[in-house]
Amino acid sequence: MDPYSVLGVSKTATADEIKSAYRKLAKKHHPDLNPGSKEAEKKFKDINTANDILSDPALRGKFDRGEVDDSGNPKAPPGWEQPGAGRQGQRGGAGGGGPFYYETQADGGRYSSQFGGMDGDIFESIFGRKQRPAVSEDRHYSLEISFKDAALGAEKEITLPDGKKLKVKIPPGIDSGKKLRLKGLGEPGSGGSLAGDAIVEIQVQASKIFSRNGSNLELELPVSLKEVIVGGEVSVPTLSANVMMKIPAGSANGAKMRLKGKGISGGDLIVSLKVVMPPQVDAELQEVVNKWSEKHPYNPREGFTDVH
Amino acid sequence: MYIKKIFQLSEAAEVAGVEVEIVTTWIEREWIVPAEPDKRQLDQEDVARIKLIQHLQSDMGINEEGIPVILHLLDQLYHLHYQLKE
Repeated sequence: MDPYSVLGVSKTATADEIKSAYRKLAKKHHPDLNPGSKEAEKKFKDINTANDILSDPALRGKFDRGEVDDSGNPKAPPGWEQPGAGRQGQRGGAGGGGPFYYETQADGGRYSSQFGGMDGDIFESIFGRKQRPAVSEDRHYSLEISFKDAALGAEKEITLPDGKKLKVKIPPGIDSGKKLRLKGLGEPGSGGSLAGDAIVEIQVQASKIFSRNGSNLELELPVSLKEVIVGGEVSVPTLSANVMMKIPAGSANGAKMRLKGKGISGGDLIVSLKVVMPPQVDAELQEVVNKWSEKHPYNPREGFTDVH
Repeated sequence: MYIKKIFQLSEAAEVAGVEVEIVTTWIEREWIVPAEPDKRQLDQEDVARIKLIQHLQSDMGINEEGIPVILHLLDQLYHLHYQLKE
């Protein structure tokens, strides 16, 4: 392309006219001011090639005399191959080579990402309103888990109505009614809106033996007459393996013992003794108790009469 | 993203075709914030930005007052492009 027509100047243009024409076009077509436009990039290249020739009086003279071509390369004598690449428009400008600045910022460069924390503000200043991407609806689910999984935590897989399987991590010590929010697993996003969240409400199944009191677990342990009277060692269920517990001789019905650290997340397990009578109280037992009572009478209701 | 290539200050200036003293001035003005400021090491982003400033000054006749304004606006523009692309 003829460098004069690229810059839009006459053959007799002065250096100042060329400079001013070049500047005007460079401002318009600089790739950094037209990020991503291949057309601007090509135009800018042509403008630079033209300027390289016309801004250099010696080269301009050679071009005018037909000694170099419109790329600034010496013209080959007839029959000769054109020399290779030669002078190309200086990609990236001044020093040539390397990407344009906008290209280094296209995927979030250091300089442009300093605006990171304030997207809202940028959108606001340009569009005049908060332009947060819309978020689709949340979807609600309910998940019933065992007492043990709730106490110790677990990973459960749930199947959504649409057949999708979801892994749900249950934190230890969760209680009924607690809701877990799974980001982005609700109503899918469409047209630029973000997916909603899946909200999973936890229902904890009651345990047959344990009840919960904060981080402590409580259980009522059935014990025999012998175990409370003469004492003994019994096996007590916990969330994990059973543990052995000593019952002191002469323990009262309803006495509480504490198993440290056997509750939820470091809490204790409180064991209440519950004396269970033998299935049949026969004559033999009655006789033994009678004999013993005659020698050791006691009044368990002492001071109990004066209810007023 | 470009592969992180590290340039020493003098190397970066040479690649960009700008005098070292001029690049130093631009760093002082915080038009350029080198990838490793204390070590005076620059990366490809810095080099491309140096070239851009050079273009703005010598090819487009933007004066010293205008450069930081343009850089600021361009960085916001690029950030917005990136955001919309995401």
